Amino acid sequence: MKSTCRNTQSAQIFRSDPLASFPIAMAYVPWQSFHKLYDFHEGLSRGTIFPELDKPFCGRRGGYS
Amino acid sequence: MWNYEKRLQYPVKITTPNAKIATFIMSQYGGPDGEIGASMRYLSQRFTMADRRVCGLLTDIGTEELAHLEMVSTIVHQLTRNLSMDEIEKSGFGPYYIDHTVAVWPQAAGGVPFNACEFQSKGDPITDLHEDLAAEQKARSTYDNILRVVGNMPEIADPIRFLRAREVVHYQRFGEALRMIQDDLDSRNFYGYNPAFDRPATCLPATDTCQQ
Amino acid sequence: MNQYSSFESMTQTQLMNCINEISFALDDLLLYLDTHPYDCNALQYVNQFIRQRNTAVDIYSRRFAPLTIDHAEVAQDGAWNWILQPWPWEITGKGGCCSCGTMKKDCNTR
Repeated sequence: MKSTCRNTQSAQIFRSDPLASFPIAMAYVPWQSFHKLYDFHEGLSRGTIFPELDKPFCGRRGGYS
Repeated sequence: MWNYEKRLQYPVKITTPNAKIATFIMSQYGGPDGEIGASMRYLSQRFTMADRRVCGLLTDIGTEELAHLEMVSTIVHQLTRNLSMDEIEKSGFGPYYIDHTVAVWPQAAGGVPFNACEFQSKGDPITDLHEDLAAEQKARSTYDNILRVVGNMPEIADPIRFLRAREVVHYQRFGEALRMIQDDLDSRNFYGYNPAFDRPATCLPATDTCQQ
Repeated sequence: MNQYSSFESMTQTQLMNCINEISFALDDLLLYLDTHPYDCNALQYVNQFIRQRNTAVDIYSRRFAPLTIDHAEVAQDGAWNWILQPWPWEITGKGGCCSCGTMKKDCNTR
């Protein structure tokens, strides 16, 4: 059976991982920066005044066979 | 201490009672991932956070969760008004009704009463913040589950969507709090000591005895 | 960032909606400031929001009903409106808390 391992794979992942310089064995959430705000009405309606934290739910049962 | 403001953080006006949905939604009141647990978790943990900003954040989010438990209990209360005995018996609400009539009482949808086993307050800032990150995701998932049931009922879905959105925001804030705690520790070994309990120590594998 | 016309001319429902909206914007901004205590942009907004909210709450409490115990002065009719005005979970006109206020024998919710 032909081997599919790639000796350079971990180096490739390492170079393209934006967290490569962070110590492992720890979790990191990126810092939020201040950008535009929703207006008051939209903010209450969406549940946040920060558009970048507005992550709605669209899930529907299904996708099983 | 706390002051009370005579309004809900987001309005709740449910005109059509529904006992079956009330039994589902009450999990976000007294269930394992509900708002009472969230509030008690954060208000308990705040005493043993090493960083004052994180103590403040836990106080402010713990306070907001009190406003959320008020919303959820309002939803349950409005869904259980004016129920006929027929609806009570046939909806699955019957067992709860026997012990509580239509009072509001903190339990999970499956019947487990609210209890302190539903949250942890470990006294280690890294551990507690990971607990908090997980708690917000568990609450979000529970609201996802509720939305699959009530998504087409705007009276119920609107406040539920609002509450779900808050979980995402709280997750971001706890993530930032964890970054703050990390900044105060030695990144070569975040786990060398508990900053809320131990004196600071340099603790690296090369040293057999920790330097203090 | 004054998005509203005069609070004095709004109906009770309109003014309550405004208070909910401004208060929520402040709630969300306060949490951001808890983790970004030196953020100039956020600090610039927060004072405006606080002033607008305080104005709206003062006007609501004077015109309609007290929202906090700090605003619970005795009403012109001499009654303790803090306790007598509806509570947030009540749907007015559809039952809930007995609105007669005391256990009078002709209270029809018995």
